[in-house]
Amino acid sequence: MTVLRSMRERFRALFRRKTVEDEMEEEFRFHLEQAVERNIKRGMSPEEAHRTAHAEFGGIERRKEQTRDEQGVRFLINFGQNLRYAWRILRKSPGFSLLAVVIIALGIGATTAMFSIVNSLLFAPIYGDDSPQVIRIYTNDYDDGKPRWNSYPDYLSLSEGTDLFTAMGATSDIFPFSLVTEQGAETVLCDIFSAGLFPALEIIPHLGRSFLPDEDVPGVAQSVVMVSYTSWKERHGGDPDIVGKTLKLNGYPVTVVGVGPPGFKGVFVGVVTEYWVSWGTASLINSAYAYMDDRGNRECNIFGRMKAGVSIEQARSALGVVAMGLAEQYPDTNEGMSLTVMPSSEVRMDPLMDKALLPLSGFLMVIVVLVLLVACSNLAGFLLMRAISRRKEITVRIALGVGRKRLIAQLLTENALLGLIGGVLGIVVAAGLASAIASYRIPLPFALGLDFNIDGTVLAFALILSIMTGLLIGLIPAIQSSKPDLVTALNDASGTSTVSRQSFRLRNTFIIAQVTVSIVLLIGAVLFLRSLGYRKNMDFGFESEHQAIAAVDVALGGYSDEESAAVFLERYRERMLTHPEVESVALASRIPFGLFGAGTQIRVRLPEVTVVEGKEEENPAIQYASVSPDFFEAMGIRVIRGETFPIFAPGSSPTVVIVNEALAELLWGNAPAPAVGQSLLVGKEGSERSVEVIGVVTNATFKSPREPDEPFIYIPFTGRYTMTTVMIARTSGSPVALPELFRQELASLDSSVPVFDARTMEEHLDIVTFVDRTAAVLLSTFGVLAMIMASIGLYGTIAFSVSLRTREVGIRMAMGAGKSQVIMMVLRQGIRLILIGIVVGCAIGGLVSRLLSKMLMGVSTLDPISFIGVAVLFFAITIMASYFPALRAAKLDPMKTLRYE
Amino acid sequence: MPNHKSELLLGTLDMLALKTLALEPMHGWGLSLRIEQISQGVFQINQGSLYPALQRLKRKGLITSEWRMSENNRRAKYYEITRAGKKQLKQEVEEWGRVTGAVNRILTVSPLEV
Repeated sequence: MTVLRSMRERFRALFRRKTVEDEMEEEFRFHLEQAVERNIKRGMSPEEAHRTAHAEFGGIERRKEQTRDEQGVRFLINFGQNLRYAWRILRKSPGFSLLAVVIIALGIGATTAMFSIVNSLLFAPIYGDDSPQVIRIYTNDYDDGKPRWNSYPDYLSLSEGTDLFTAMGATSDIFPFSLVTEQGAETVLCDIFSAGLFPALEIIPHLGRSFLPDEDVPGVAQSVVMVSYTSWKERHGGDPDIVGKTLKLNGYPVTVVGVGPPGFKGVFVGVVTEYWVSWGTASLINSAYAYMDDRGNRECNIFGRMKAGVSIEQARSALGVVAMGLAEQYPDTNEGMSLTVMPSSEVRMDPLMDKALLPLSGFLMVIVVLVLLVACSNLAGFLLMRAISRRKEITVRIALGVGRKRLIAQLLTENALLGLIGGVLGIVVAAGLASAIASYRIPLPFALGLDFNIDGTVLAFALILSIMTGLLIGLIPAIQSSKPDLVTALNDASGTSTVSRQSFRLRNTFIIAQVTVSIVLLIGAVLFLRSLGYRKNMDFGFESEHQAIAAVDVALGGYSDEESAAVFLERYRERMLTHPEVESVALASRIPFGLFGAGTQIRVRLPEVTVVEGKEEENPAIQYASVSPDFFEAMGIRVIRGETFPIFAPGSSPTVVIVNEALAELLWGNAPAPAVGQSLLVGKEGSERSVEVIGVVTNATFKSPREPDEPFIYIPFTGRYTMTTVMIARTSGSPVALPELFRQELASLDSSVPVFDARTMEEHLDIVTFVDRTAAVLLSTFGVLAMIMASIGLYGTIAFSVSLRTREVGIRMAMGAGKSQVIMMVLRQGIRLILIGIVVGCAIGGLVSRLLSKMLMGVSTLDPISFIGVAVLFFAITIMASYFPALRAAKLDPMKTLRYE
Repeated sequence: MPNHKSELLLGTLDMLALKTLALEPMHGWGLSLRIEQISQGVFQINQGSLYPALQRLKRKGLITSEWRMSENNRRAKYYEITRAGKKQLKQEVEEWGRVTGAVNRILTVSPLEV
């Protein structure tokens, strides 16, 4: 009852403000009138009665204030007042307010955009794994004992081996499939889901059904696919009758059985998959999965849902028993098998990748937070200066009796308002930035559907960030300006000459911090640019100016045996050669830095060497590619000894190889000459073939720019099944038209064979410089942003201090100082300030660049050009930022300045 | 610091106002007259300080207020003690008795008793 009444009282005080004030007025008036009446009765004159009544009552306004204080809503009323006042102040100087809001919006926008990425990588919930009953299973069955995916047969054994689970499901790597629609072939991201995954993650289809257990088994049921909710809406126009229709994936007809629930975008963090096929279907439409019955082929990411009441420890021990059984039963593949069982909510991508996610996210966030700090300190500096020039107003208000707390609250409200307006705009900026980042073209043969959303978490982040920004930029200036020395400040004509040294020191610290951050970011940017330049001009041992490539999987068009594949590819090759500008066309299982066939290697040893256990280096695994005879010519790789391959009949098993110089050196020592004619044993021990070396070619970099002279072995391309074949065409002129030519020719030859990827070799090589480019773009964007802010801040400080020193300058000039002396005086001030920033910035830059050394190439981490270049740049900026205020000071008329005050 | 001094005074004022209102509902002016009268001029209460005290009591729900016609037919705000107010008054009077009793004992201690 009491509480209720008290609440009602406060509510009235807050929302019926006018009535409450009127009543208070009336009550006081009544009191005073009564008092006057009594005094008159006591025989006073009316004036005296009046005066005595008021004296007895005390100051009316003060009583009102005290009474208001007791209404318990003081804080809120003040807040409203502060807000109105703040708004008025901001509107009074629209230029400054706009600048401040834009700076905050950029800072918060960049930070929020970056956070939206980090959020989706680290924090955003994954569909269906919020229950503690959902777990993931990894095998530690690797040499390094780290948790990785399981094989499909192991998945089956694990799911059948215990009865602790209501469901267990498996997915695989995301794969780009070619989807043939009326508009032509498109590459879409697909995933492979076993039937058990749906109940395991409680994914309930929006339309139709999910997969049946039978559909996990190749060849048992028809080929089936599920469409994600978004794709169903966007690609299929929300067709209500889509279930039962047929789509063409990788040229293969598949039947749509269902549409996923809204919000379900696949199980891979940060990446959106659009179509999901069953395991049985996968092995039909993508030959990579034809080998899923191999226990050594670990392609499965396993999710399980434990029965209610089953603890993860129980699941762990039961699965451990199954794993031990498997290790015994299949020692070839599963020797020493043990499992890592984790709650699904503790895993993002997988345990190994998760370890890289945190530093990556940290790196991204540090960059933007630094920029935000620059923005904040910049604004804080401006506010400090503004506070100095508003000193008079503030002094007057303090003299009139505004409390210090109230004043600080007032100033803070002003800045919090700035922060909030900037924050709201910042969210708009962030949304734009995030979509720009998401559409950033990664040099892969398909578009990555990155899933960066501005969700509730991100919004909350932005809101907190903007309020904190407001407080951060406002707190120090507010505190500083709320304690002026009343008498001096009021007496001072300009209201500025009593500026405390402290606020200047603070302002200078801000500037130094900004310069430091900008320098660190810019040094990083220049280092990456230099690394980019180095990698771009690297000689990888092959040519790229006249080449274009296309990746095709002819098995998808039904050419799945060696002979028909080879015949089809040869026809394709001939079609390409009919164009006069095409000089040569070669086929290969892989090309340098290619996605397809990447990292394939084969054991190679000399016939006279017997492999002893523990001396595997005698039988090294060597990178290899199978290539057609004109590969070396098309790629511009020189044959230095012997000759290239002759043409082999499709499906034959030639016993010749070509080695590169590095391999020849590795096997036979420095002289490559004797290599030709030598024989080698290639393949796994026990199943090796004897081959003859017929040629030695120059080294070409296939894997990493850091390993330019890696030993390499070429074997003849005979159409023997390699998942994807890469065609390389060489032209006399520009290769720009070639990718389209590849597509056209293939479409006219057989439209059911999709081209995964067709681009010029230069475009393809973009992947080599991808990290450099991304980092350089990121760092230079933010670095330049920080630099601009720092120079504005610097200019502002110097200009302001010159305006404060007007009188001093006047006196100096009157005493005979020349213009150049005045200019030097001002310049010196700026330079002194910046030198500290440059020294600290370079020192921190040196530490940071050591952390980046693994990503950089061809540039020392203490690269003098980067460090000195950036330092000189900043020096020049300082001179510029100080020069104009200096010039203005020099142009002062000493007589006028002295008279002014 | 004037605040500390007034705190004690304010507390006392609150109790006096509650006690007076417990006798009969009254407006602010009447209350100030009554306190003056009862205390026989011992307390020099600044009349204006009564109103913040009344507002505070009201916010705590110890009294309520109502606009009524005064004895000389003017509109005036009358305050009335609530049940919670009466309870509070009782506690405060007891507390007051304890404190003053203790203070009195200390003040009347003779050297022999120490």
